[in-house]
Amino acid sequence: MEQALFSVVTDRHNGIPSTNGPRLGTLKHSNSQVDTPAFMFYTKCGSVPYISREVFEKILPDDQALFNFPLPTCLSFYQPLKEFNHGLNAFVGLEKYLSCCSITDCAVDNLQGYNKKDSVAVKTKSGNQLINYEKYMDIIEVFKPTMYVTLSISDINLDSSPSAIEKSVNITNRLFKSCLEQHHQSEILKQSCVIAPIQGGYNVQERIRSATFLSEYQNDVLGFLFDGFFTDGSIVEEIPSDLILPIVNKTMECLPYDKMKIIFGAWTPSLIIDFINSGVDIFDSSFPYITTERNSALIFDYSLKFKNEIIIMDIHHNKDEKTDSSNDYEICLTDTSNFEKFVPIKDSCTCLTCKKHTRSYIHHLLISNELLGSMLLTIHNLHYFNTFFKDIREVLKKK
Amino acid sequence: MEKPLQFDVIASCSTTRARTRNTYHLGLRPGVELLKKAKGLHNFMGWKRALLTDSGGFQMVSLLHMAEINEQGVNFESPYDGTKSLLTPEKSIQIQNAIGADIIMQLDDVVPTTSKDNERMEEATYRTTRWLDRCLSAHERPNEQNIFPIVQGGLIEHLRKLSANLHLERKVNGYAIGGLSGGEAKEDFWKMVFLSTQMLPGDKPKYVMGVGFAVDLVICCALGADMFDCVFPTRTARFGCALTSSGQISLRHKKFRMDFGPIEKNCSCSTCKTYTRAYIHQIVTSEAVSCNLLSVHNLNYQMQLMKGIRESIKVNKFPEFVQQFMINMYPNKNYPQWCIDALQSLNKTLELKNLLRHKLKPIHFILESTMMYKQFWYPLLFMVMVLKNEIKV
Ligand SMILES: [Zn+2]
Ligand SMILES: [Zn+2]
Repeated sequence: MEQALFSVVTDRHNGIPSTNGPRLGTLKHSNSQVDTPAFMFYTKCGSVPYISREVFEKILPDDQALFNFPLPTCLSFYQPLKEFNHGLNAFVGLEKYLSCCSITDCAVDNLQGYNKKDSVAVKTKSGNQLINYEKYMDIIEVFKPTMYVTLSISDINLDSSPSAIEKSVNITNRLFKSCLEQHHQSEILKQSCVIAPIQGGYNVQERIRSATFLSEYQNDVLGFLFDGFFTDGSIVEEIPSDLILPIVNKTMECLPYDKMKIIFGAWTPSLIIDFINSGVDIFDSSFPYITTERNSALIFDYSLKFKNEIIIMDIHHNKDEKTDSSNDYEICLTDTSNFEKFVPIKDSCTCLTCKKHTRSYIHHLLISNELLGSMLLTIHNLHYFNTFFKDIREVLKKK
Repeated sequence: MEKPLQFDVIASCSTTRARTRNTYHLGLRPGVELLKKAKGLHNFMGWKRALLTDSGGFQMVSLLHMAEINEQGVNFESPYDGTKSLLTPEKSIQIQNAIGADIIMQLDDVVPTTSKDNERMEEATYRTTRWLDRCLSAHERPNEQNIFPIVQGGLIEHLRKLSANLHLERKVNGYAIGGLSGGEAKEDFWKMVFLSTQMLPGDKPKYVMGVGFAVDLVICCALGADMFDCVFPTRTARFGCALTSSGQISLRHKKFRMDFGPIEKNCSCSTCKTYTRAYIHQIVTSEAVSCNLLSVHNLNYQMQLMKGIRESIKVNKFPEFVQQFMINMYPNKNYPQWCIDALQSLNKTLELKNLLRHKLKPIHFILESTMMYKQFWYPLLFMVMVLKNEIKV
């Protein structure tokens, strides 16, 4: 089997490559193809939360998908996988799909400050484990993902000190080189691709330093990850766009045009559009996951258009839907206003949940603490998020 | 089978002990009003097939320590806000009429199975029949819904007979055998089941409430029972247990860490087709999805078991089926004594063939709600639902 391949299909700059700007791309691996902009499915312990493979195939019947496996949630698979010997995808029942291994669980509050020198602290069910690059590459050889992020120090957030940021860039760069060396020596990893993690917190100079260093190895990597913006995945929606966007834009300019650009985290749909306009290709499904976790359903009405070389999203506010516990994008199904609403979550939605069930029923399930409630919400939210990305790709296709 | 009963698929509703708080939280909301507006439970859940609801009496008594029973009904105090409520037979039927299930249960006077208070047991036996009459006269939809009386009498032989005899005088389409599976000895359990099934008419379905283990189910079928509920496969799934033809296994056990086979070889369920024991072992205590994976398998197991029973009866091979089942379950032939006793008593008292000839197809139905999505993946499978949340008293 060959390695995965990413290519930019079209951008809006009439053939003049520019890294800043929305673009369509494809990620290909043997018979699989994922069109970008896209998102990776967030997993916990190898599964999309609440969703078995059987149900997942009902959400995305024909589509290819890319799954993100955060290391803290699947580190305990190492021993059995070593004996199993067919890799992570097969073990978790998701063979035929593409996979990415990453270092941090971007939907939860992560450890901070437990890293020791060049070893990264990974919080697992059975306590913290320090992982050095040799151990990490051993894990990756056993997991055999389609792609993986190299080991990195990314416990940086808005409050991190300049010295912590500088350190994270230094160590991450060092770890990248070490991992890459191991990668090239490994027979097993000939089929896996490397993702380079850019650090630097909210410091433009450090970001540029990181991106410039990693770009020297552009021929060795499939893409770049914009990493180290937060430690607590549950508050990502609150990060102001004017703090992060200039950083992403500046960093993007230092990166090779034709490589895949990734950012993880529960960014709002509006910021996702901004990131796509900056040239980001791949996200993850932390946002619908976190929405489900607060018993909410995505319902935002939007229209997308392409104007002045960027995507513009208008969100239509629906006065009827406004409740205390909802934001612009969602409604809370545990809110008592849904008690007697015998209507689907979203009339126009074609997901299995909306075709079959009412808000009243889902409200009842959630209040009763039935897992089925979260499952129905996940089905809707993932479907909605997936449709959102399809619509984005459609807008980019229309010349 | 008389009309309105249709036995192709039956689902049922019950509560789960683990969720008392939420149950009562909702219980105090206008659940019945909501269901009326939703045009019944079938519509509320998007379920087109048959449903069965329980009366709520058992749940009140087993979940609420402060429940108190008198001739009027079950008095209880809500642990949620302390309000006092009374569940009468009339109220129970009114609620179940609003819910609209195809089979509904009478409100019965519940005494713990292992109670030694014979006087109380006798009182409960008579009261259960008095309440049955009140339920029958309160019934507003007799052409759409079937009330099942519940045969009570604890473990006392003459009370069981009495209860069954009293119920026999009423015009109903099927019977439930209650007051068992409450921690009594298996010796007592099977005798009471047998006693009840022998008393009840052969051409009407007999539902043994609360039966779980596969062995119990097979023996009860042999003893003449027709219907069972399915609390067990989904509840046991929640504790990380899987049902297999050689018994129950707990996937939490570390011996499964390196076991890369399916839960059961040759199992046709989607879990066994996709996942290994080793993977389920990894997620069994932490991830909600493990509940689904195990429920899918366990329900499939129980349904295949029932199907096996049905098919063996059709071709007159039920005794052979029981034999093979027991050997699979107990490869060392260390059969539980009560099974041997139960099966031997069949040979003595009745020709097994005669007993089975009148038997209806055994029907398996399912309680609880974790697997409800099954309804739109596989419309032919049974489904599950919690009722008590809808009850407002
Ligand atoms: Zn939907
Ligand atoms: Zn199975």
